[in-house]
Amino acid sequence: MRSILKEKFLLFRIRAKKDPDAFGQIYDAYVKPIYRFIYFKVPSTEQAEDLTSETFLKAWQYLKENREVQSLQALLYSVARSTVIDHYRKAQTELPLEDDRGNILTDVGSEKLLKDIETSHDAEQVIAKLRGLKDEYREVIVLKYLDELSANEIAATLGKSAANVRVLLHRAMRALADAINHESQNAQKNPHPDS
Amino acid sequence: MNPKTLKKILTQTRNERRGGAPREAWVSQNRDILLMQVRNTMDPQPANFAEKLRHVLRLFVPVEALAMAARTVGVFVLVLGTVLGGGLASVQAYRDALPGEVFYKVKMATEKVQLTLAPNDDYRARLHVEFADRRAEEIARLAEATATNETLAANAVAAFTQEVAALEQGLEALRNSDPEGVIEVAKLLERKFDVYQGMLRKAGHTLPTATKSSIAAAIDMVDGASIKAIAVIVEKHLAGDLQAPQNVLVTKFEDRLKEAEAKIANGQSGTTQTNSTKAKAAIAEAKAFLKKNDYQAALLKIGEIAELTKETEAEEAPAPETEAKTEQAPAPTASPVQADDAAGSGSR
Repeated sequence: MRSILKEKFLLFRIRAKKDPDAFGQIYDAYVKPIYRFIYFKVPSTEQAEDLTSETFLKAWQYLKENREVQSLQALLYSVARSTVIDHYRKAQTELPLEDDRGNILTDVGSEKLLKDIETSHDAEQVIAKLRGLKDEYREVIVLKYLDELSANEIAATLGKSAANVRVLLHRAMRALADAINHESQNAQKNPHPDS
Repeated sequence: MNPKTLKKILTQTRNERRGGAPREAWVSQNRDILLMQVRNTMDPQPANFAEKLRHVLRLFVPVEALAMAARTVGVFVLVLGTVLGGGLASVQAYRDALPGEVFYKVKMATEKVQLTLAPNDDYRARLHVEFADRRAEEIARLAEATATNETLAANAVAAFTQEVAALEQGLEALRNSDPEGVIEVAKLLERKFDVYQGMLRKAGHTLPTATKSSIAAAIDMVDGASIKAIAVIVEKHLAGDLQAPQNVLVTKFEDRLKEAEAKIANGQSGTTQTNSTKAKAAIAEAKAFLKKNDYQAALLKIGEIAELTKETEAEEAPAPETEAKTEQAPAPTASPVQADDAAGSGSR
């Protein structure tokens, strides 16, 4: 999507023409980035799927009420963030669930993955460390390198200035690199007895 | 691992599930479910032309800027029209136009444009107040005219009730969009509704007989809307809003109770003997609730009294929902406005 004019036209179709397919197009454009945004905040794919569905339903309610929308992208990320926060508030007493995504590798079937075990290991390590970063670092990395948003788009989504986003991104990447390098150094110092 | 490798790995994983790519089957299945829910909750009524225009303006044009520009252009056109079209008399003719006159359609069209260009709910609600004032004044002037056409009078009353309905909707919209600003509008409306009821009663004496029933219905409608405005004040008071102090609230309740007592004493409304007795009992109960500062319960009683003393023909049989409301009255968790929705609707 990302075309402001196109977004405005879709909003017009929803509000004036009462055309549900227009919301379908919004879903098609944003379901993957919104799912990914949530995926890195919750421990299971089921929860990510449920919360993504909830996010789109809430966004629909918002649009239906004819409330002001400056940017669909910013609206959806904002709704996604509050949906995840609500989810954790509700489950405050529950302990974090085991991450059930360890098995994903086996059913991905990526040829590249099977051919290059080393890269796969690196990627696993990067994703694991990415999950361990603090929220604002993880968000900015996901938006920049996985969703490929520009600094301005990230700024609009997170409600920060573009300059702030660039600084944050720099710090986030350094934190991620440090976490990975720190683990590698530890592994070299204390090699596993079986290896 | 250097930053370049890190970026490369991140970019490479974006299409893999571990990189946060969703299952394709879920994406498709969820889309179907979502669109089904969207279709089920979408208002089937297509937007009319004015609504479409408003949506276009709101989405594609910065409305505040447009409203300012429109006002400037409007003033220019008005000045030009005044100069070319016969001086100040033409402006006065347009403002004073009554239903059935040539300029009246221009007046109504101008109001629609003003509403379309309203930048927010608060501005729109205040415009409706102004237009309701105009409609009430038109009814009053028609009533003063020596020979008023029945159709014109009926149309004027219908136009007024439309404005009252718009005010009710506007108040509800403001409750959602501007929870802090709604209290001011609610207080304004409550005062205005009182004035409108007086004007309608006075006009009812002189307008053609065929219009009397619609005037009575309009008075009842205004009464219901007034209760809704009070419900907002109660809600804000209970939420600790300093703009809705206790003394204001109590005064509003007491004024209404005095009016109801006067109505019963003068036999002003179409109230039956049975309903009068019930209304007196309900007034006593409302006063008791007020003494206990139980404003939600008092509000329910006010709704009940309005139903029992309405201007339109009352029925002898007691409304079963009235009794149910009485039982619910002390419920502490009931939202005043929701409760009033039930109570207020009965008075129309």
